[in-house]
Amino acid sequence: MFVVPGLMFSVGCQKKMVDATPEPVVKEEEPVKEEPKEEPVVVTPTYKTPDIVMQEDIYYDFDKSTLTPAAQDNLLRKAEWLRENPAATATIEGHCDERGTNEYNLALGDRRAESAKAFLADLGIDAARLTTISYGEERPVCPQQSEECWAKNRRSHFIVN
Amino acid sequence: TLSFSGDQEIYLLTGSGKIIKRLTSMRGSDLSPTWSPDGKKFAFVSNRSGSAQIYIQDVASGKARRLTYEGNYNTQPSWSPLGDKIAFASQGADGRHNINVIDVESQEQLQLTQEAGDNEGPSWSPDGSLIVFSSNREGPSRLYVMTAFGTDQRRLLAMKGEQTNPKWSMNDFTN
Repeated sequence: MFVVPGLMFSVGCQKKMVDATPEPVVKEEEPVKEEPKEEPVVVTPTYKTPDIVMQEDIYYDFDKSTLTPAAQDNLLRKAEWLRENPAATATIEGHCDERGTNEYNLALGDRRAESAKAFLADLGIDAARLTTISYGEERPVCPQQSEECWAKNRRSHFIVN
Repeated sequence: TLSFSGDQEIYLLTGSGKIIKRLTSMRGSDLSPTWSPDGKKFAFVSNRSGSAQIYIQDVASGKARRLTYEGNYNTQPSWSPLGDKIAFASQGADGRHNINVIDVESQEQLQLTQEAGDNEGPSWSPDGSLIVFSSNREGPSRLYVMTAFGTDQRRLLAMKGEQTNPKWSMNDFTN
């Protein structure tokens, strides 16, 4: 009677030896593709055509050249595009709505374009790639005298050269 | 005004464009300078206080004092050749710009145009009796002239397009 538990014990402890070597994976043979004829190599321009992100204007509050959160988000995406297209340069136009005096608005448009440029430069875009110009209130996109129109005119517009 | 330092500041230049010295250095934009008749001071627009206001600065000492306190958008100052007043464009509560004249010493202010569109860019005649300015009271911006007290306002001319920012010549053509 004393022997039986010993036997059971030894059976319980016995480790199973598992064969751990991986089985060879059988690869399906890929169909052999025919090599295409060699075409003459065409040198394409070193940047993609300006994306929608560069065509979007950024907007400002009245009498301000500071960048709203929406403007900053847009500039982040523009910086990405400029990074991916290192040969591209851009002109930043600063614009105002018609309510101020035109001399003051020339200066305000300049500040708006410069603030956009400074933001991009801080993100690492070479400032030499960006030029600024102010059109003041002289080139509105919207002619009506309404806050809706004025808001559309208070903008920086990018032209990729 | 030049902005190559990163902020829009006023500089003193020779007639051929060489910079003699930088006149302003406060944070904020400084623009539209106009000389006093004796050449010792100049008035200019600055938004250093948070809104566009007119200041007077002494060239030698560099000290500036604020001149306008009414309204929050006062621009385009023009110093009268008589030295006592400065004309400028002031935006009212209705959003319109009107020509105002302020006494340099007493800071008493008088509005010369009203209820006639936007009136901007004033410039004095050499004898200080008339002011030429632009107004869009008839639609497109045209040049008008009036007395220094705002009377007898009449249109000077009407050309194609818009006319703005007149400057009265100081030259005497009658000799």
